[in-house]
Parts: sequence; structure tokens; C-alpha cells
Amino acid sequence: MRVLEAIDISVRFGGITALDGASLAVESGGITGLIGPNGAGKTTMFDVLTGLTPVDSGRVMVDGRNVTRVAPHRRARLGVARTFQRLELFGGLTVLENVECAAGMALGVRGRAAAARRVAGPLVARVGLGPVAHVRAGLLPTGQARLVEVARALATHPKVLLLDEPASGQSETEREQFARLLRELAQDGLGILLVEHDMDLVMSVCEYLVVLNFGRVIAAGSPADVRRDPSVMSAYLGSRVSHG
Amino acid sequence: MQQFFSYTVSGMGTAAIYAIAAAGLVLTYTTTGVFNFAHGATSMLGAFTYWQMRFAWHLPAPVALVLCLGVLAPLFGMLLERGVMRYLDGTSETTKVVTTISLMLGLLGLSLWIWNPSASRPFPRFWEGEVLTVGGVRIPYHVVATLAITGFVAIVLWLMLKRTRFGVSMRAVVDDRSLVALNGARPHVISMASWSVGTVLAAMAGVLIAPSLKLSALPLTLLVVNAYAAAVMGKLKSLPLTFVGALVLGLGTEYLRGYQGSLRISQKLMPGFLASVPVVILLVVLVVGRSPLRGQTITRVRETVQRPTWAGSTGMGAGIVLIAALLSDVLPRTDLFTLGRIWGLGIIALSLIPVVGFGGHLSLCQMSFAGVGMVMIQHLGGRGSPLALIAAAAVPAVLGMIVAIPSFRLSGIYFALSTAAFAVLMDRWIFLLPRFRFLGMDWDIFNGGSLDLRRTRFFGLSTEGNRAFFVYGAVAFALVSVAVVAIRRSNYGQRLIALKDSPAACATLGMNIKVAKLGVFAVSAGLAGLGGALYGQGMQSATTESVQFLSSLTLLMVMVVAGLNSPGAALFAGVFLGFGLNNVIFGKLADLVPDRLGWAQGFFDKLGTNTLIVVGLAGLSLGRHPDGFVATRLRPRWDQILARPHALLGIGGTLGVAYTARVAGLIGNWPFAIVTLVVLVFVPRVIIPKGPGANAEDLSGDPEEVMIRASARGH
Amino acid sequence: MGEMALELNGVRARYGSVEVLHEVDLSLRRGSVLAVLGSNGAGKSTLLKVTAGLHPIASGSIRLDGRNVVGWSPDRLARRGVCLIPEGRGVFPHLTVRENLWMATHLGVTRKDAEAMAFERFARLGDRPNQLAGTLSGGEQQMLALARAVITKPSVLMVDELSMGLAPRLADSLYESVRQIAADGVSVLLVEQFARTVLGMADRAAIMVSGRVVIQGTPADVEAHLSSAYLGG
Repeated sequence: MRVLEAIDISVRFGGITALDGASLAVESGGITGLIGPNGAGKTTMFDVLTGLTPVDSGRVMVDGRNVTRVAPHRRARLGVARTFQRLELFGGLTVLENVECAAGMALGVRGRAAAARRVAGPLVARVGLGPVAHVRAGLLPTGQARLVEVARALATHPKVLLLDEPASGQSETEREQFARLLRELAQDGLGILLVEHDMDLVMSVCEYLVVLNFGRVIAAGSPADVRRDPSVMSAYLGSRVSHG
Repeated sequence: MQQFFSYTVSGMGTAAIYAIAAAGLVLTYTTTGVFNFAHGATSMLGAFTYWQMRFAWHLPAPVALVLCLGVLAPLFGMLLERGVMRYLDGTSETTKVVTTISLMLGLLGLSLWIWNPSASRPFPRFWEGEVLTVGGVRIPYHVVATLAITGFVAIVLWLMLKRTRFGVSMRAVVDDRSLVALNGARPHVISMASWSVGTVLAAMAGVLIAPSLKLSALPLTLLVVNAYAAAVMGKLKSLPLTFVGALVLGLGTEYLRGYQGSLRISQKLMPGFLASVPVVILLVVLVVGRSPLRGQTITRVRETVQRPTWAGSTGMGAGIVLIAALLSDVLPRTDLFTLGRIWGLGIIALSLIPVVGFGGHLSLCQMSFAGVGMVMIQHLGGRGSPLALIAAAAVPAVLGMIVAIPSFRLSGIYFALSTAAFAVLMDRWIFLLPRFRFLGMDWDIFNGGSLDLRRTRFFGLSTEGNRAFFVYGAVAFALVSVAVVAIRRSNYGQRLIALKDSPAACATLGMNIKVAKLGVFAVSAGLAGLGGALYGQGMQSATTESVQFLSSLTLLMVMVVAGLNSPGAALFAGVFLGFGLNNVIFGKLADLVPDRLGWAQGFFDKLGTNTLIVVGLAGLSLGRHPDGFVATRLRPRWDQILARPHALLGIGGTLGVAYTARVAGLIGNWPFAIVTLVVLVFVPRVIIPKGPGANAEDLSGDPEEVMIRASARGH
Repeated sequence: MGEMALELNGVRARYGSVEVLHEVDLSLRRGSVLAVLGSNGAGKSTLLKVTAGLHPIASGSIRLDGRNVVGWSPDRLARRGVCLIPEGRGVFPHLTVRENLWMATHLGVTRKDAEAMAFERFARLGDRPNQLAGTLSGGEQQMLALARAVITKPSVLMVDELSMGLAPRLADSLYESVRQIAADGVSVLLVEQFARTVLGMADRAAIMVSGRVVIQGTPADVEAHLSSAYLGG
């Protein structure tokens, strides 16, 4: 089932076209990778899907419902959660408080503290942050900080999770654990959209890839197909045909 | 018609001075990113310095002008850059605002120190009485001169910024500071130059405006609030638009003053309103301006404050009530009366914790809410009715939500300015309104300038006596401080801190940001109103002076210095400002100094009576301790002492002996106070020489850091 | 003077507690072009920032014409002939084209000469000297940024992702200008994610992965390793 869908999205900032008729879809229980060179429009796509950036044209659908004009916090309550490439942690709160707080926000204005607390503890343990649960989030190294964002997003009981470069700053072992976590989450029925530069991770966890360049989708398909696609190679390596 | 021309002429004269002041403000803000709240204080200092040289030392006017504007002002600007502003690079916007407000208070204090405020200082206009007549319109020489000077300033600024590489670099810094360095220019030199030009412009405005305002420190300092409006119309970056803004402001005020007689508004409402026109314009520009004005992105400041515990806060509350009860027995009635006001001030200080400490919104109008609280007691608490207390919290809470509305689209410095504008509007107009009729009722908001406040009776329990009121105030302060801790520990408190750290994350996690902002302002304004009620009841009669903008700034600064997140700091703020702690301490120091060191006695006496300079200097040293000294210095040591029973026993024993000696009449109040202070503040220092977290940069001793390292190894 | 215009030895750099450059060694021969390739987040931009004095290094040495310049401020390095065209647009958007060029006169060139040199190389800039730089097209902005290198004739020119966000043909013509600047004897250090665009003009190349230089050699040597460095496997 398509839990999140972007249809023909265009976004312009001043004279620059950041997204140019791009479409993609995320299935429940599936992991979709969104890749492309620097400046291709991946983060803009995330901002559009979560409502932080308004579109110039196109539609965003959650569970078949048009949410293009819906405010970010209402989309979150419909089940869209994300992490940020440039970390947006609540640095003044502990790891556990970060997650409790997110659980409370999803419960609405009068989020019940006890309910939030019940959700938070197991989630922190699940992403492997149990030992640092009472450390202030602002003090964590990048790898662990990214996991806090993941746990925080999960605390809102999302149907679809958007991850913006979750593995950068993580060590080799952390990445392996993280890949395992992603597969488990997908098995539980969560839809995942993954932007990531670590191609080993992307190729190993994603069933489906969408490649963006200059705000357009230039290729889509299974990891093996995409890897063989000559247009993808030239998007990454540049225009000029090899001299060798 | 001739009347119109004469209004236009004097309006342009005012506009020209606003333009000079606002241009300096815009120049330093764009090139250094620091909005200088002390700009007005610099103008004031410039005017006083010129007066000193011209009229006290009788230097010829040209010499005095060159010395003041050509030598001292640029030097002062450079000194500011080198000594203070340079260290603000990369700090949060809050730290910048706080630093310049401290500077403003410090300069104000300095001028009150040097120039006795009660002496009269005639400051005649340049070319007093000489008038130029053009086509029947009489234009005073000084207006002609002001216009000429402004034109000259505009041309020089234009040439500098457009035609010299240095000036182009100053504009380039606005776009991209590091790219300027990559072009081989030294950013610090550029900053230094812009601070000295800014200071010269401020001083020039001061010298020009002083004759029409009389040479008085506070009005001169606050005058620049008017120039804020012009600067904001220039979006704090465009000098031409700033000049246009100044013109709108000057002419608008003057026409309104001139034609008020023909307007169908009650004449009683007008005088205060005329003085408030610039801040009304400022508010309007801020609230309905076309493009939303965004402050700089927030640089995250690492907080070192622990989440408060229930045990700690209730313990502190109980301790405060107990100590208050004991003190109420030993202190003389007159001291109890004076001390009665510390609780109200303390609660107003507590009200800053949710909004500024947790929420990160700079509110510069907390005393205005307190003033509204007092007004409610005046009008509804005639028979000591407790219902008046509810109104004293509820009405400011509603006002607080209104003040919060601009925060939906304004952030950082712009929002702080809108709260400043609100405070000044209350000061200059609402609190000064005379008795008037509206909606068929008689209104006399501030009771003709002085409130007469009855203390509350709770179901037959009167708090009228000074002793009863003192204990009642302590109970109220303890309850509110526990409530503030409850907010911090609640899910809502977490959300406020989360919102400060990352609005984008909050929105995408499902939080309704507007509701949260309205809520925190309602809570904090309500607490401020309640605090104001108690503050006023403590004093029993209150004037508008006690709730003015400057008091809001002073209170905020004391809280910042002591620590914006801790109720202990609020108690300190209440005692410091309510009891005049610096007067007590420095007065005692002056007594202790041997008589032959007369200058030192005089020095301490001056420090004792000059709260502003003490607060200002303390605030300027803030940069290194963004969480305040109570939280980063005192608390950690006390935590360690509580873990050592013998130390605790020793301290408790000493205090017990001192108290017994005091009750038995063996020692007076002063020795008792000194023993208490030494035991509570200095003994911990000796027992634990280096408190944890004493050095913000040094993380080696931070237990959390150690935990992270341990867990990293575990992987 | 040695034959190296720029030499980095064992350079480490960190953001907070995270190390982003691990023991980087790199050398740029006088008058040659060195291309540093690698995917996003490999540490290429940090490498340039460190060399231009915009970011401190944790250990190692940086030598400019054989002289240790560790700890120098960016403006001092700029006056010594280090020119960095940063990522994005290296121009001041609220200054005019002409004023942007004036900013590059810190090495003693007169304004008139500066404009003449820039407009000769980039005629499109000469057509609009009083336009605000922020309103220029992306390609024109990069021309304006490169004009700084034309005017100052630096000893080392570093260019960060010149092609970002530009159409391929435009990027090629900008790199043609870089090639001309190099031909005038300027030593050039290029950082680029689109490898093939620059391999053709480089004398030597290096690939960075996760803050390390994994291979350094002739363009042909380096090209063989591209696919695995970018797309994994």
C-alpha cells in the first residue's frame, strides 16, 4: 500500500529550480532509497513531504489523502516523521527527554506525561542508546545524535519515516546495527524513505531506488538496475565522456 | 499654510536627528550583527561629555565638538569593539542583546556617578534665538544647522560606503564575513571602524538633541527607542530607507502635535500618546511589515544546568519559608517593611524563567505586566479581596498572549524590540493616562500616578502586618518557585526547551508551535502580574517609576547574571533589587575602610548607591557564564557539600550558634548577616576549591562526558 | 624555493569531537593542476577551508612555498597569494559586479586595471558592471568569483565544486577559464564531485573517502578507482 506519495512536485527558490516535476512513492513495509549528487534536491523533497517548504505545483498524498496544504504538525499527526541532515536535536534535554517530548507532542496539546514516558524508554533501548539515556543530547557525538533523531521520530508512531543521511558520522559497527534496525522497522510495516551517501548501506537495505539530478527523477528501479544505468553514472561522475 | 510650513520645518529638524541616530544603529548592526541597545546611552554620554567640555570647562564650541566627536567618540567605539563586542562573535543572539543592555545600564550608571542627576545643567541651543526667515516662514538657525549636518553625514556615509574599498568591505561583511577575509581584508579592523563610526553618529545625535530635552540621563538614553522605529523601517540594513523612516517619524509626530486640536479625540488622552507615536509606529512596522523579519539563526548555547529535582525544589521552598519565619522574629519592623518587597520582585524574576530561560524569547516588558497586576489590586482589592489576586494574574496573562502574537513571525532581536515597544508604550501612555470616561465608565488606570495598595485578607487571615506579610510573601515565592520547577519537569516544559533548540523538529514531530508560544507568554505574564501585585502590596504604595521599561531591563540583567534557569537566582534578584543589596554590601565596605582612605570610602559609597553600574558591569562579564553564577558556581559546590555529612553538620552548627547568639542579644544583626553570608557562600569555596563545571570549556570533569566515553568503549 | 607550491602533511581536522580529516597528505607542484575527487561528505571542502585558514587543524603541517602557515588567519593567507573560491557562489550578492571586483584589489591592483582584466576574460560581466551580483545567473556569478583569481594572480588557486547546480555545458566553459588561469602559471587545486569533468585537465588527481586520501596519482590511475569510490561495491 502506498503510504506516502509525491506527485509531480516543482519548487523554485528565486530563479533556481530545486525540484522540477519530481515524483516518488513509499510503500508500507518497504525501504525506498533517494539518491543523487549534491544539490540534486533531496533535502528539498524531504521539506516538501513534511510541509516545511510549500510547493509551486504538485501534490503530496498521505494514505491516499491530499495533504499538500496541511501544516507540518498536522502531517506529523497523520503519521509522517523525519530526521534532519543538519542535526535538529533538543540539545538542552537528555536523550530520554528528547524522545518523551516527541511522544508527548504527537499526543497533542495535553500530551499525557505518563503515556509519553511509557513509550520513550523502550524506544531508546531499541535504537541502542540505553547506556546514554540520561546524557544531555547536545553532548553526544554525531553518530549517536542521529540515532536520537531516529528514536524521536519513531516516538510519534509514524506510518512513514524519512531519514536524511542517518548514517553519516556513524562508525562501521554502528552502520551495521543501523541497517539491521531499518530492516526490522520495515518488517513491522513502517514505510521508509532513505537519503544516504553511504552506497554500501543504500544498496544493501533498499528494495527500490529513486535517483534525482537537477530536481528531476533521472532513474528509478532496483539497486542492481540503477547501478548499471549509464545516466546515473554520468550524474555522479560528470558530463564528459571518459578519456580512457 | 504658514503653520504647515513651520510644523514641517521643526518636524524635519527632529527627523534629521533620528536619522543620524538610526544610521549609526543600522551601520553597526549590519556590519557586526550586534544590535546595540546601548546606542542611546552612548548618545547620552556624548551629550554629557560635550556639556562638560563646553559649559563646565568653557572650551570654545569648535574645540569641544572636535574633541568630543572627533577624538573621544571614535576612541570609545574602538575600545568597545576591542574590549567587549569582539568576544560576541559566534555567540547567541540572546547573549548579544544581554551584553548591550548591560552596557546601556552600565553607561547610564556611569553618567549618574559622574554627573549628579539633581543638579541643573543648562544646555543652550546652538545659535539660540537666531532665526532665518524664508518667505515668511521662520526657521531657527539650529534647525538649519541640524539639517545641514545630516545632509553632510549622509553624503560622507554614501561616499565612504560606495566609493572606498574600506566602505565596500563594510557592506561586503554583511553578505559574507569569511569571504571578506578570503579577499584579504581584516574583519576585526572593519568591525572596529564600524563601531567607531556608529559611536560618533550616536554622540552627534546626543549633542544635537540634548538642548531640546534638557540634559537628563534617562530621557536621553531612551530617546533612541524612537530611532529604533526608523531603523526597523530600513529593515535594519538599508540606510536610505532608514532616512525615509526617520522623516516619516519626525514629520508624523510633529503634524500630530500641531494639529491635535482639530482631531476629535479627547484631549486628555493625547499628551502621552504623542510621546508614544514612535513606538506605536515601531510596533506597527514590526507586526504588519511586509516581509517577516527573521533574526539571525540561533547559535546553540550549551546549557550546563541540571534538570531540577522535586526534592531539591521543595526542600529549597521549605527552607525559604523556615528562614523567613525565623528572620521575621529577629528583624526590626522597619527592615521587615523594606524586606517585604523582595518576594514580589522575586516572583517577577521567577516569571522570566519559563519565557526567557526555557522558551528563549527575550521579553523586555515583564515589569509592565507587573504594573498591570498592581493596577488590578488597586481597583479590585480595596477590601483585601483575594479575588483581586486572581485578576492580577489573569489580566496580564491575556495581555501576555497579545504580546506573544508577533513572535509567530518575528524572532530574535525583532521580537525583543516589539516587547520593548510594548513596555515603552505602557510607560509613556497607558500608565500615565489621567482620569477619563470610556464606555460610560470612569477610568483612572494608575490612580493619578500613584497606587495605594491594600494587602490581601485570606478568609479572615490578614497579611496586613509587616511580619505576617513577610512570611506570607515567602510562602507565595516558595509556591511559585515549585510551580516553575513543575513546569520544567512537565512534558510542556520539555516542549518549551525543545522549541528553543529546534522549531523545525518540533513542527515535524507534531507540535503546534503557536499554541505553545501563547501558552508560555500567558503563564509568564500571569506570574509577573501576581509578582507585581505582591511587590506593590509590599511597598503599599507604588509609582509608575517602579514598573518602567528600565526596571524590566535591570531585573532581566540581574536574572541573567545569576542564572535564568534557577529559582535560586530569582530569590537573589529579589533580595538584590528589593533590599538594595549592593547598597548594603558596599555601604558596609565603606564603613570598614579606614578613614584615611577617604577616596576608597567615597568609591564604595558611590557603588552602593549606583545599582545600575553594578548590574551593568556584572552583565558585561556574562559572556563566559551563559548560565549564571548561581547555577554554575554555587549550586555544584552545594551539591557536593550535601554529600558530606560532616561539612553539612559544621555549617548547620555554625549557623545555629550564630542564630542563638543573635536571639540572645549577644551579637547585632550585622555580625549575624556577615557570619551567615560567609558560611553560605565562602565556606563551600574553601571546602571544595574548584567546583565542577566551573570552567565551561573544560569537560574533563563532566560526569556526563565520562559516561559517553564509557559507553563508546562499550560498543 | 622548492618545487611544491602547497604541501599538506598529516593534517587532521575536527568539528567538535568528530574528526573529519584523518592524516591527509597532499602536495601541489608549482604551476600544475591537482584535482581532489570524492563523494559528498568525504572532507574535500574541509580540506580547502583548512588550507585557506578558515578552519583550524588539530595536527599536521601546511606549507606554502615551503613556509609553514599553520595558524595564519585567512586574510593574511589571502595577502600571501592564497585564493579560495568557496562552494556555492563566492560573490557578495548585495554588491554590484564592479564592487565585487574592487574587493579583489587587496594585492595592489588599481580598480581600473582590475576591471579591465576581469572584463577581458569574462566579457559577459563587462556588459553589466552595475548589476547586483545576487541577480546574476549562476554561471555569471561563478565567473565573477573566478575573476578574483584573474585579478589577484594568486600563487595557489583553490576552487570548490565550481560546477555545482550548473548545466554541464556551462560548467565545462568555466573549467576552460580555470585551465587558462592555470596556463598563466597559477598552481590550481580543484575539488569536484563530478570527476570526469575535471580529470581531463588535471596533471594529478586524488580521491578522498571519509576524510582520507585513498589514492593519489595520475588521472588515469585514479579513474580506474572511481566507480567503487562513488557507488560502493
